[in-house]
Amino acid sequence: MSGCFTLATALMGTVVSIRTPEQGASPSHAQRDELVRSALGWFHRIEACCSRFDPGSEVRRLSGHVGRPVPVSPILYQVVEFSLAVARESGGAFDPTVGLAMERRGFDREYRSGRAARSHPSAPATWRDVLLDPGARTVTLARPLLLDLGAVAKGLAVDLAARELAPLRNFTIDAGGDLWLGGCDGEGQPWSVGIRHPGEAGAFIETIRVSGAAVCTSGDYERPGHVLDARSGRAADALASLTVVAPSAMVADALATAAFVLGPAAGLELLDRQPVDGLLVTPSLERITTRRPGPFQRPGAGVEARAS
Amino acid sequence: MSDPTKGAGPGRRPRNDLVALGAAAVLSVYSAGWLRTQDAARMFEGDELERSPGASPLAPAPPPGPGPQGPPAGSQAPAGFPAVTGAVPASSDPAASAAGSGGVPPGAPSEAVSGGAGGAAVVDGALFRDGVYRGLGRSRHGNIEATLEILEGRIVSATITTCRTLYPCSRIDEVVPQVVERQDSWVDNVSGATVSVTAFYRAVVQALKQAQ
Repeated sequence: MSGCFTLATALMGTVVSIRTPEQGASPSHAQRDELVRSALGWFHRIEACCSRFDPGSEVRRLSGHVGRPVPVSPILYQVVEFSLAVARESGGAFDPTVGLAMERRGFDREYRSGRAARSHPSAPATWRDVLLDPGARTVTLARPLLLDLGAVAKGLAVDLAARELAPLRNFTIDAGGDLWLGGCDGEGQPWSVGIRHPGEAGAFIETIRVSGAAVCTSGDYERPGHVLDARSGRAADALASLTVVAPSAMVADALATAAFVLGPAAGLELLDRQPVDGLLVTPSLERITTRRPGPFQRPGAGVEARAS
Repeated sequence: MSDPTKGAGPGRRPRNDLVALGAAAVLSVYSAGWLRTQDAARMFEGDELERSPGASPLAPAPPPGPGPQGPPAGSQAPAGFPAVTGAVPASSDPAASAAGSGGVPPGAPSEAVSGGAGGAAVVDGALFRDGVYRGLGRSRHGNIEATLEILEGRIVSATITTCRTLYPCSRIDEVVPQVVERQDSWVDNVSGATVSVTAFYRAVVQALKQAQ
């Protein structure tokens, strides 16, 4: 790429970077900077709503109200509603009520301060204990629980940031593996995205070309045990990594997490029910792709097996 | 209250298009303008003053137009507004209408026109004093500062000098020249940008009040 603007900053427990090739005089640098500021603003706002590590966050405050409807912000409501839809579709493999279980497993520290955020122990809850009233925009927790909205919230932030950056046309957003690829790269080609090899640091197991879509990968090679199967209470380990390409980062991240928990067969079935593309990599490095034509189905691009 | 278990019973797999649901969720949050507008939203809670015909205390209702957008750009001022004759001087500078940097942050000390100011938007001949006047228009989507130049009692230029709204002010570029063309604060609505148009309208009204 001949010239490129890149900004990277720590947000939502990861590094968020925005990149756009130089595109002549329009938009101006001032306009571009304003757009980038607006895009990053969404990460701040969503983190303030949805972080389970921040005692002052809206979701954390919500957990203090059990058994009665609590009016919530549009952000929190939409994130919870979508999380419950994914939970329902995945049969509970994806469950946003795993917050307390994650704390018990040691995922309990705010990434900037390192301060622990602990809740009182309570009986196990499931996504069925979260009730919504769309008319009043309220959330009711039927029993004490802590929502872990990390995957969906980060994806939503990426999607909203992408909307802010739309005037740039050509740009990428990388939020710790949640990618949005808008337009083309500096050479006018769809962006090239390397899918990390789960067993070889620095290597790619697949390279795809993507434009106007999100790419998210779930895997435990970086943070072992951080994807929890809420049904069993154990870390999901039937896959080494799972990548989803979807029109939305929120969808891609949530489905990647849900399908990763479900494992090769059920995970593939879940992805095939949705208009998304997926690449599943087993611990033995067998590659499995979703059925519909897509970036993983190009000739020579890793159509090597399907789950039986 | 919706039951999340509904439709998820055995043998009854829900058909749940998560992509469509996700797109709706993103649109909902984005449209709510929760990020830059929360302060403005608080100020305007319960005060959904829209620049719709008959709703604004700052201008009389326009006549029935060709549609919800009112008269087309460049048309004569609505009946009930003093007609303006003669050559129309300079239009706004499009470059100056682009989203600017600096300027008025949301929540800045308000100079916005309050409801009931009454009829100050109506231009009548040389009611205005020459000079350059700025006005701030607030809305639940953020603030717009408009700058008007008055020469020989007429508006000769109108520009958006600060744009702090959720959406880029380029979306309402087309209405900015109408202030000069019509010698009036009443501008057309822009589909999908009605709140920004309202903020601009308020800013123009305030600037004109200072010029009286």
